[in-house]
Amino acid sequence: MKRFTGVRILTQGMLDCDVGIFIGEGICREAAPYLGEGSYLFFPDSENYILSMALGMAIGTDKRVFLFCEDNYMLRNISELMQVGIAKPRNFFLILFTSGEYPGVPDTPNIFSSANSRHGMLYELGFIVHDYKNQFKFSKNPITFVRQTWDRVRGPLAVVMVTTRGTKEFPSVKFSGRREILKTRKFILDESIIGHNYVPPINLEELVIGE
Amino acid sequence: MAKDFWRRICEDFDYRFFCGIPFPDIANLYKTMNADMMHYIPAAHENIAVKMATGTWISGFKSAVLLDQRKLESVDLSFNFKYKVPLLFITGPIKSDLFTSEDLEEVDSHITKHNKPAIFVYK
Repeated sequence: MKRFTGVRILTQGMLDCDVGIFIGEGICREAAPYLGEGSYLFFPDSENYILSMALGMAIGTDKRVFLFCEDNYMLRNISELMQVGIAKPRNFFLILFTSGEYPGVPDTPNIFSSANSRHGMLYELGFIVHDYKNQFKFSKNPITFVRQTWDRVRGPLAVVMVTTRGTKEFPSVKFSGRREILKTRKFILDESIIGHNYVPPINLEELVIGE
Repeated sequence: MAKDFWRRICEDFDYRFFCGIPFPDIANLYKTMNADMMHYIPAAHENIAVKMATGTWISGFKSAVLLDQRKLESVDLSFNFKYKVPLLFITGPIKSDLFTSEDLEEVDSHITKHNKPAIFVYK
């Protein structure tokens, strides 16, 4: 499956009450045309530790937090994955596109492509791991399938998508700035937008000062 | 003393989320943490703690990072300065370019006013 096809399907699997974070220019470009009314942040590949930021966001809200990134980004920040796996936020969803090669340089395999078990590694770190390769092959409507699956599953979920390079051109996208971050903050704090039946691991609002 | 500090920072200043890496200078703070009024997550390393606190701020909660002052130089704060995300550091005595004070009220008002990271020195 081409990466842009995977991004299109999984992006549309999100609901309007979800928060999406996209890392890497390629993924940002491919996702932007298909986004709904939720709140979305775009970051360049060079911005590190976004996984931890997403974890912090997931801890503080009952809205689902989706993080779309490539295997290269995950390899650079692998210690954060363990932090997420141990914290077990039920509203954290990691969508991982694994091409097995470095971005922008064709036919240069990265070490993730040589891993014995990509799924097993993520599972051992504490994630629930999904791979929709077969479902997408036979499902008539993969978007509905993804929505129905994500309706029931609890995080931390890692969706591993094995993808190949595509040649389709997408319009450029502006990376998020302070304005977009404040917009996301407002979106998260907006109580009229109800989170999707998920309970955050720690309800910070209910912490009561002891006597 | 340490218990009073936690009560003050959680009750008066409404900080609820803390993360960081333990170090000997503020060991008594770790011993007196109270799960009824705060939540603490030990981080794998300093930058993870900073970014987790940043994410919690985006979710609308005030958060602080407990960090060894000697490791503060290696912390990547470019995101916080670029996007003007405030952050409170609780460390031991330190000389730093960041706003530093032993008065919690002063540090908190500086953070709120300038949307920048600042350091509270705990003695």
